Amino acid sequence: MICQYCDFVKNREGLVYEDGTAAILLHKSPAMPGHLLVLPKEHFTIIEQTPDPVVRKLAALANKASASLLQVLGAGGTNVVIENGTGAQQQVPHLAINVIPRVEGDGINLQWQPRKLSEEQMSLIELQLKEQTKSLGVEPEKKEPIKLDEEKERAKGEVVKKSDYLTKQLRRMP
Amino acid sequence: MEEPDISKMSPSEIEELQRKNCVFCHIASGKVPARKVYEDDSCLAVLDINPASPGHMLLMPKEHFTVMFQVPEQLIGHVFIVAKGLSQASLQALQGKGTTIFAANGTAAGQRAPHFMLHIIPRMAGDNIGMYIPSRALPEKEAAQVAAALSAALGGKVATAATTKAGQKISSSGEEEPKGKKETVIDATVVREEKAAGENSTKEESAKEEVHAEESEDLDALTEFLARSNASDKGGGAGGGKK
Repeated sequence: MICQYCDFVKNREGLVYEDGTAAILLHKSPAMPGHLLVLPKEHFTIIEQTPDPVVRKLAALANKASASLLQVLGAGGTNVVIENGTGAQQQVPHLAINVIPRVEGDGINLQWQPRKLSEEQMSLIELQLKEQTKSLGVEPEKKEPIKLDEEKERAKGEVVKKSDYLTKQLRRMP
Repeated sequence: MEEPDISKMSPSEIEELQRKNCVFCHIASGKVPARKVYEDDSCLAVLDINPASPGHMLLMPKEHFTVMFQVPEQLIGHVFIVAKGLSQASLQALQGKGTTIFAANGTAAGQRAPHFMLHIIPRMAGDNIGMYIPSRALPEKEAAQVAAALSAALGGKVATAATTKAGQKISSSGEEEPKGKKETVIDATVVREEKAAGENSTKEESAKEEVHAEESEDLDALTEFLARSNASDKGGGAGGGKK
């Protein structure tokens, strides 16, 4: 498969930063000079496919990129944009965080037309999204406490077994 | 209502005032009602009342940060992982064809509310929302200069590979003596101080050096630098260290 960003990273074209998991490229046809792309070295098309540790790394690097743009290029601000999926005008099928330096009056317009939805529509969307986000923040960790509890349970069980010695005997009877 | 005199306030007092007047802090604390679609200990997502598209979410840390690069590494990582989950949720719930994940840092970038948030905007093909990132041609020489300066500031492991290439192109302006490989390792703090003092001259110099910088330390220093400059902007140059 041919991927432009994989090639750029491999050939070190426009590479301004690199570590084990991520790279930062200078955009070839930027919105502004200094427009950076923070991307994983491994090929992932969209953020949903990207493992959490990699996402974490990219986020931290996006911050670093913003800070550098302000410091080095004297930008007045930055935009951080992910075009995630073809519906979002993603051009290259490789996840990238755009970090765009901005100055007052640079003529770039990334704003959208705000809409107004009816209360019913908003409520419906709220419910639909909540249904999907229910499982989000649940982290399947905390192994130790569970183990301890289990042991307690088991210990309890044994006590119960001993004390129920008589009833057990009863149960065994036909 | 009396207007407090901002010019007489210390940076921490100004921050306090911003927090008190921040509608998104009030949403996070529950004082202002909103349609919450996700919440955990550190962050919160609500529906935008004037959405770009149905399902437009605002994901923000509960703690008040004005811009994204002030958010500590651990927390911003968490925010983006939640953003990934919300993006997925919107794709499933609303059958979208993608999401635009967007943040504006600073008024120059179109930021309106002084509380950092990520916009997660569900997208459909041909939804006419706009948000096209424009592109322009960048002259090679300028690109090389920008690349050199940025890779020096970012201090990646292999910054030299990119910088030497660029360094050759810009070397016409200010020649450095050592042609042989005299690798000088500058302490990151020195580079930073030099930059703060006299920008232009040090840019090219530091671009040629291999900078070994501890990543997080570097970021902390930059954030601090920005926070300081922010505060002095707003406070009209009021003395920094008054707590």
